[in-house]
Amino acid sequence: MKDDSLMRRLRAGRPVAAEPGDHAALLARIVAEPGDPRLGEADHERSPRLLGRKVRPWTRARPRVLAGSTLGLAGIGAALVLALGGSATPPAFAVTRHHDGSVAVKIYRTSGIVFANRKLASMGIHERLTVVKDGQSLPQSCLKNQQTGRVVVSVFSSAAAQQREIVNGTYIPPSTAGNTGGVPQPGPWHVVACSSVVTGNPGSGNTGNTGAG
Amino acid sequence: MQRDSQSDRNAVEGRFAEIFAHLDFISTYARRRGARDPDGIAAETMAIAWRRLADVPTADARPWLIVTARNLLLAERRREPETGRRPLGDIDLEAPAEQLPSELDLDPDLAQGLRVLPEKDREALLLIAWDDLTPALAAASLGISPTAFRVRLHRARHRLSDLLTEQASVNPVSAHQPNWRQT
Repeated sequence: MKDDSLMRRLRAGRPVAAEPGDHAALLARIVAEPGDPRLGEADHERSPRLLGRKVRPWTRARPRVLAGSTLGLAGIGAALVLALGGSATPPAFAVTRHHDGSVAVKIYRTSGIVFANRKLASMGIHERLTVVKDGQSLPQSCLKNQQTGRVVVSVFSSAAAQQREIVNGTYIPPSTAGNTGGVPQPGPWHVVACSSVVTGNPGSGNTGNTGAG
Repeated sequence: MQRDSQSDRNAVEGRFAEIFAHLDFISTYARRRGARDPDGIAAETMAIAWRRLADVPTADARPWLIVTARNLLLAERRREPETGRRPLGDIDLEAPAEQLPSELDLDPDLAQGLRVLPEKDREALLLIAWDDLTPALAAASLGISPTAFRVRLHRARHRLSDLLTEQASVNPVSAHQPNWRQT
């Protein structure tokens, strides 16, 4: 894929810009001194976009010279936040680290497996999600180190959620794995986590019955 | 003397008015980054710019404003962690879907690709593709040199492209349809 087409694709989906508005009232509230007649006008001409939420009393603000002051750039990129994804289409996966150190992976679509694996890798968790069919034994690489921890993989259908767990290399059927009451997921497949290194806290997940009797 | 004072005052307000013209730009930036109250963040950014007018670059205020808005976005999330708004890379699917911007029209694969990109790479891409900044301005808003930004942007494009290619090879059928199969 060429870079240009990628950028065009990104631009095509960008959220719409804010509608230009007349924000004279806000400007007055920021810059006007006490007694400034613009303040009275501003009280009556609040920008519609400002209605319905708190407006800080900026009217006392003064420009001041902060010699040598610099804008703190620390933290840039530390938490650049996005909210993406159409409201109608859920993301294909979710990776959540719990307070106890366990990690829950939720797969909504097989298309999310690749990304979930990447996300796990970026979190320093050397887990690998893969798909096996019913009756297919787990790869040896999955069985090797499963004793050291647990990863919970939740598989979701469009109608309901159903949680399945791999504990100590054993696939726990829905009936004993903290089933959340959803309908069985169609299709003779299961998503499993192959573990080479597990960083989670063994056996301390909070996602229901582990089924690991 | 009083006339001089008034003249200075007008000059300061005139300078601020030029910065204030970017209000809608900052509001859009905040909205596209998932702010709960983008207009509020934009307004507060302007209030901070007024209080720290001497710190705002005279050439182009947008990088400075973006940095300020970004810090306010972070503060917004620290104040309201229970809202379910989380960094995308760790997004929780239990969060109500209506909390996500409904106007976003990215295809799911592209959205997923952006989610798993490192945050710095993602922001580099979006500053260009969504905010229409020049590389020099985008670099300033990230506190890095234009050269470093170009490298980051190049790397981000390749990473996203690789992700999408990999995704296409795994799931050639439309991602909108469940396509459960063995990988």
